[in-house]
Amino acid sequence: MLLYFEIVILSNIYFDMNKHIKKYYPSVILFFLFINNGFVFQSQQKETLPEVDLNIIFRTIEAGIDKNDISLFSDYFSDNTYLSLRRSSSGYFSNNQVHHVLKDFLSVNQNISFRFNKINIDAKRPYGTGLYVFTNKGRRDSAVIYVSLTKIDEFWKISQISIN
Amino acid sequence: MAKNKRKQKIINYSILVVIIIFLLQIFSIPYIIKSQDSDWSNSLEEKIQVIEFEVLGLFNSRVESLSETNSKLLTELGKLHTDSEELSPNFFVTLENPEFSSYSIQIYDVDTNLVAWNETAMIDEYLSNHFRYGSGEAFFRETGLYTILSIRTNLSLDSKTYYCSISNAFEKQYYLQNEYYTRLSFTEELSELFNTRFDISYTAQAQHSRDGRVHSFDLLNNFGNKVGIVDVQKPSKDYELNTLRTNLNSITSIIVMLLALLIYLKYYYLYSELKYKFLKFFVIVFSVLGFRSLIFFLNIPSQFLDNDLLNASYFSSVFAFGMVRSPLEFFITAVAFLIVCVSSYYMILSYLKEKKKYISTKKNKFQFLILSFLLLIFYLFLLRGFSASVNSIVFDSSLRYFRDPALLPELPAILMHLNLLLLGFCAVLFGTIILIVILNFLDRIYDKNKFTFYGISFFCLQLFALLFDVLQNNPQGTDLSRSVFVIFTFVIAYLILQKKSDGLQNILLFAFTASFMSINLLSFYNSELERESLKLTAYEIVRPNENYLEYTVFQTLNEALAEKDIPGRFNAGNINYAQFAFKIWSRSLLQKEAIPSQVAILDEKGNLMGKYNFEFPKQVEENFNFEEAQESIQIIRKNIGNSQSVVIDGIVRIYDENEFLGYVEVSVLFNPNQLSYNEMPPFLTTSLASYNTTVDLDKLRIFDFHNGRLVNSVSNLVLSEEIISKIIEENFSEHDEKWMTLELNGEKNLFYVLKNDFDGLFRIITVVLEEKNISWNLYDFFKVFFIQTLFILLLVLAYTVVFFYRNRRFQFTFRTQLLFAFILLSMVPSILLAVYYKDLTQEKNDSAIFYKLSKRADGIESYLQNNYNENMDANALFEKAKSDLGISFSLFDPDRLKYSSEQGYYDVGLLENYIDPVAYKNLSYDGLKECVINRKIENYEYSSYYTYVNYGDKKQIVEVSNLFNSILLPLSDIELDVILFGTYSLVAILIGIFSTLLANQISRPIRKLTGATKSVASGDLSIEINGNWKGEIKELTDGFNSMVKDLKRSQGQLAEMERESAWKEMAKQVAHEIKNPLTPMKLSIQQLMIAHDDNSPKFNSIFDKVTKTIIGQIDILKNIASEFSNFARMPSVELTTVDPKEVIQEVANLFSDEKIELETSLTSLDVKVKADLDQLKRALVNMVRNSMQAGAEKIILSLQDENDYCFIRISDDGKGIPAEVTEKIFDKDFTTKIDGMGIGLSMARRFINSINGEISVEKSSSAGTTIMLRLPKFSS
Repeated sequence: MLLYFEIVILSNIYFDMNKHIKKYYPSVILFFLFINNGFVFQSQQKETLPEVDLNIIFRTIEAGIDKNDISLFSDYFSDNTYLSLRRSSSGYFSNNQVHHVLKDFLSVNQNISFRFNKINIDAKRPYGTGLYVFTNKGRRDSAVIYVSLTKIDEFWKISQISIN
Repeated sequence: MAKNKRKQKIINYSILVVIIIFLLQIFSIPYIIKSQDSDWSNSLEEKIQVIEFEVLGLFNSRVESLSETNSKLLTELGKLHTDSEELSPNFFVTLENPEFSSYSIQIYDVDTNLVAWNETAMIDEYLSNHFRYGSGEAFFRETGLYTILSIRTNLSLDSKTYYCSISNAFEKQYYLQNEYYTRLSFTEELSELFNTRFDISYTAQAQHSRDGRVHSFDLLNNFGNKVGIVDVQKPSKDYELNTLRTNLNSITSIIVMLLALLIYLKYYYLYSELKYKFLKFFVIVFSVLGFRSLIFFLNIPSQFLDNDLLNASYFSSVFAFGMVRSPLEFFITAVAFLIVCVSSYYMILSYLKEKKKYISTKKNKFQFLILSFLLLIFYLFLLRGFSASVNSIVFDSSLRYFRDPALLPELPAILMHLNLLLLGFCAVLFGTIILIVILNFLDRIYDKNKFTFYGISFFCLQLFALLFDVLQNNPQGTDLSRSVFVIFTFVIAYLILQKKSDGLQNILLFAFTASFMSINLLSFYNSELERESLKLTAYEIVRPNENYLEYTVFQTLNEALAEKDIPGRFNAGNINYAQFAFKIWSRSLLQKEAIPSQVAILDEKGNLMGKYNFEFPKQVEENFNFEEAQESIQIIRKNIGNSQSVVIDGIVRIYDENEFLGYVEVSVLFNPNQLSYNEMPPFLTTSLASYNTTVDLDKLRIFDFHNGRLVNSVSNLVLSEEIISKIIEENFSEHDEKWMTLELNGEKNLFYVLKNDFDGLFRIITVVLEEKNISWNLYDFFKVFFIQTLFILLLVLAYTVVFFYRNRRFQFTFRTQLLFAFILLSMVPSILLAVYYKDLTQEKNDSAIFYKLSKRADGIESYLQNNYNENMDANALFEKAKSDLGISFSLFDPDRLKYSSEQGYYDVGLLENYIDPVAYKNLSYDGLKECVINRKIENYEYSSYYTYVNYGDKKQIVEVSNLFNSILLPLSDIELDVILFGTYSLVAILIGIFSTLLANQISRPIRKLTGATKSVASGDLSIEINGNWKGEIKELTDGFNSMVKDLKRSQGQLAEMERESAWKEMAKQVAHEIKNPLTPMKLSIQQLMIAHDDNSPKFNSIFDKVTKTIIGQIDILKNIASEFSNFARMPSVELTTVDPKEVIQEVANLFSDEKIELETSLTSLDVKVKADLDQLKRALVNMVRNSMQAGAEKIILSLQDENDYCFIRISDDGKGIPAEVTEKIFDKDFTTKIDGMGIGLSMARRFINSINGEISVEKSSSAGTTIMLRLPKFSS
């Protein structure tokens, strides 16, 4: 709105031929509304939901991996998430990076089936493990997934994802 | 016009064609897919045949290559003499031929003893087993870690028989996750190539698969014998159809993009006809951003490329809906924004050139003020956004911009450097544009002295920027970066507004400012990241817990079970099971995470067949749990004694169909009392080093406290009680952590302290780093600056090429030539010096390595000599030597390994059991006493020192290397590269700066002379060049000034003489002409007088006649006078249609080098007048010159039009014209100047009047004068 306001005033003052410029106002307004409504400047990060039921969190993660939809559980990424991926990247990544690194990995190693066959919510760092069956360029393979959570500021966050 | 219409037609047709192709494609995709689906079984058969054919082709070509090399080898060997005493060294010499370096070659004598071998030896320990293959026949064999294709040939050299074995590796059986490892796998190569799974059995006994989903075929060697079986998984229909669909969609994306480009091209012509610049700018912005969005949604280029430039781990952000999700996507987005910023820049520049005269009112002042304030807020947000973006570049990336030792880093890093520069360029450019607009607005409002105006503006800007940061919760960047950004953008804005700088100079200003700003911020955020890395180190130490380790055990066994050849290994004889265990370990998370672990292979009775142990405690390494094993993986946990350490065992039974073969047991140690930080040889390094590449691990100190007591540390320092109590007792934050800065040994250190409770154990991990290791480093700065400067140079090159293309000539001014000459003369010796210094340092490093390793070897020899006893166990002595001396070494007797303190690496086959062949040859045959050989394991380079050691009656060769012994060098090769890089980048920059200054200084008088010459050519003879020069330049300028004065004087004299001569001539003519009618007049009067005196009767007729004569002659005299008056008019004018804007611009350019501020203010409309171009120019030059001579510092040439006239005004801030002479200044011969001729203004007025114009003094006071020329407009 700031930019829009500026452009309107600018147009009035900058050029003394107002009558010639007025017919272009709608396009100008539309364009800057489009920009200001977040096309360029809006981040995709949303506020983390204060989910406390660990089982629900693990099932959400499971669904996200199963459907290859990272956005289902991207709220649970912490600022430094440890990722260890099969024959691929390994290390601590920011929450921006984790999103895309994991997305790229799961798009290449496409899910056939995944379920957590063990979830332990009583441990100090709750974790889940499960068998991930996937295809990679038409070749079927499997890996074991390990996901652990940690509490940061009253919210549960993913501290580690290992797919090996 | 016709050309444009033709182009439009072509574009329209192209659009039509592309649309038709697009529609055809869209509608044909389902049919293509359906046709592939229905014809699948035929096409599958075809695919399989093609795959088989191509695989056999690849295999056969490798066999042929091996066979050819073997033939070459035999030919070379055949040339050797048969004197056996000389043969062996000659064998080594032959094998050193670089042509054979990529093959493993061994030569055996008739008793299968190894006689010679080369560096890439994969010794055949079971040579005799392979005699079943014919001489020259290719076959596969295993060395434990490799599957290799070999050819053994019998070699006869006169009476002696030798066996020559040449091999080429097909499969590397182990897998390491680090930067040194190179993957080698024929199977994986085929899988990648054909997009389907391959399994190859490298044995003639293998059988075809009975699985209907798999197609099997034999591998035949060069003798037509079966040597293996290839099992290829038949391509899956779903996958193939999906791939086809994806490929067709990719084509659709390209067509859509092409269509968009054509549409943009079509509307380009409409765009070029737009009248208003603001609209043009709006169209550009919309088009560029729209195109960028389009290619993003079409997934271009991601769907076509598959390389590191699209790897999100190098850089990724969710900003802008993922349009910066990889380095390449970031680059494309940055280029789009750059185009928008550059368009804004040129729009503003062109607006400035056409500035209208502005009338200030209260309402407008208020509006401008509000607008300026809003723009200022936008400017400050821009700066914040820029800083936040650099923050993201550091924190959302795994690249470490300052730690990469390579002079030119990898491609993703290079691209991110470019992205950083582009980002900075956009920020600086856009910031400058905003400031130009603000300053332009404020200039209209406040009519103040320029110095005051800019000074106050700058101060206010800095103040607002500071306030903006203070008011934020989380300000981005630093105070320095904020201030510097404001300074640079303000200075550039000032230069553009006041000095009218443009072209390449501006581009370079923006580019270098952007580079400096971006690196400054990069450095700041990198230090933040380094601080953060202390936290990550602590996290990493506490990350492994029992549950995670259980997962690693499970994962390792799961991975092992998935290996097809596991049962075969149990059945095969002569297997090195330690290697087998190492292979399982290397492919697992255990290696990746450097976890203390062991992999053991047990037979069906539970007896140990082989194991690989990595830092696993010896007291439990043989505690196997095979009784617990079942068909599925079983996990067992056991405590070790009374300690808190837990061993997590995983065990599984191995079957071959229903036959029970044995067990694989994986054990890991979880010890909460131990820091999970293991020193490994570099070629095995993984986890801890790989994640924490921000700081050198060598510089970190780690302390582990349990229940308030220090139990473990990685440090060469001791903490005082005071510091320990601060660590333990001071309050932790709610996140169980704290940051502290404390002094250790007089140095400030940053402490990160993390509290971690574990089963009642109160644990504190402290990670410490010296502050000076986090500080900004000059070399780091110049390392990045060098890379960005290369990009800027490319930009200059591009600009030069475009300039040449437009102007068809290279314009290398004298100044530019001087600059290049200085740079060349300075850089060449600098580069030579750098190369020399690098060579010298490398030599010194080599000498240091030699010295330090030799000292260690001497120490070992002394120890063995002093402690050797015939009765003692030799291995025990060697172990004691290692333990007492702390030196890792190996002994060879003479070519075979006898002992190594790192036996594990030899057992598993990572290191060969034979001595390096070059070392052996040097010591055994060339008579050298010692030598250093540069060796390689994977791609890790190290140096090994060899010499003989004598102890007791033994004479053996000892090897001491820096692979297992840490050798500290004053300056490693990498550090040297970084220092040289940084130093010489600084040198290059200083050379550039000083060369520019010097070139400017030297060429200044030449430029002034050039300008002055142009002024003289335009008729301005009042010009004078002033400067404090000496020598020839002073003589030149004095000579020039003198010449101009003489010219002016001569011109004046000439004009005077001409005037005099003209007057004389005219007077002569006048006299002559006047005389003619006067004579008859006199005669007539005389005649009348005579008639009167004589009272002639004809007096009346004579009177009439005389009067008529006199009147006639008077008429003649009058005509004569008119003629001469017409002749005396000014020279004739040559009237043409003149654009006054161009004339004013030309006049302004003539005074560009003068020490006055000359502005132009031109109307935007097209105005033409009818005038003599030269005289109009001369008139304006004369008036500007008059203003300068009246002491003006600022002169404004303005042009306005009103109704049928255009008005040219020359306004100055000189001393003004006294009121009493205002009316006279246009008079001929009137001047107030001592040396004036008084004709300039009068000539100007005469000329202006002649073209129906008017010239007058519009206003004049002590504040300045305005002269107005009113000229009638010309309309065609």
